Amino acid sequence: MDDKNIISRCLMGDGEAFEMLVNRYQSQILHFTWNILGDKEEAKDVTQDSFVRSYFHLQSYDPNRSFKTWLYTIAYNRCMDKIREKQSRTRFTKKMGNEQRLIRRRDNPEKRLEDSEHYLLILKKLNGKERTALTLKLNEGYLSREIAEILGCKESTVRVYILNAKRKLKKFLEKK
Amino acid sequence: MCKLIRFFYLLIPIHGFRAFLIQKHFAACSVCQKEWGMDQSAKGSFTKPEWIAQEHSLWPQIQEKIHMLGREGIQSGETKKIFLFPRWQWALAGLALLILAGIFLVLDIGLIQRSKKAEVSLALKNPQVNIIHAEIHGKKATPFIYQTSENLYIWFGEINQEED
Repeated sequence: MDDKNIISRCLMGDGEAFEMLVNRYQSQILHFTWNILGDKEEAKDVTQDSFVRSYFHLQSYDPNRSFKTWLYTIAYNRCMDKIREKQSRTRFTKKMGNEQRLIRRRDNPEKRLEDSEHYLLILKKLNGKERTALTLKLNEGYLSREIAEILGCKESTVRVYILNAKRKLKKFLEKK
Repeated sequence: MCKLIRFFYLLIPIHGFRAFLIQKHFAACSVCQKEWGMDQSAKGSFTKPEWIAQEHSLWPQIQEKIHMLGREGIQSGETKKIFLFPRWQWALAGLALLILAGIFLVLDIGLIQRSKKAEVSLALKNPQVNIIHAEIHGKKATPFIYQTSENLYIWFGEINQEED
């Protein structure tokens, strides 16, 4: 069954049909959010939230658009919210002087293994939009036009993001 | 990617021939090979971690959230919509209000000060006049005073005895 049929079933009140969409795109959205956020728990949270949001806004979904792209747009916006939230929290904790205490609490061996040093270094090199654009381009094979739709910007801007991201990665990988 | 590849794409419309030329070029060009290698390593940097494939379906948690939000969300849907405007719009509106309030405050203070100044200058220019006694031909007279910002007019009239 294709996405459009599932969506029309959901709109007719069949809430369970949405499970099919979740199972179809869960892995891709998780991968996408993890690539942007770099944290397993946050990626899971944002993925769940993105699906919930898409469920409640299904009526505003344009069937002429790809559902996957629409879902990516929601997930991207949620990731950006999360990053902003994290930034303001970090600023606050820095002010309060609790930074060290929090880092110690978070630093458990399981997490260290998961967030490999290499990955975190790459994440730090790119900003949110560059990371998103490059992930969609390399992992999903999206065209600049589709990425522009997700990021809500011009195609030319997407090309600049990708170029910058590649340049930064190139620099980083050459140093290594 | 070096410029030659772009030329191939632009100038040669035949797919097979173009692919052949690109392959030939790739085998020999170190710049293109390096670029390709960089792309591949960049792609490798965004690896899919194993836990994603092993992750159980998120549906039960999503379903729970949908039920929870569905109950309260539908009721408060309208009020929530108010906050769906982008933050910059709220910030802009706030700023506009502040500017307006500032303009009003400045104007208001200016007006108060101007009116106070006017009162003082008026008081200095036109001192109060008290008429203690007025008489016309030995009879009591009534004073009339009319004061403007520039002049003070005083005149006297006889009192009609019959009225008294």
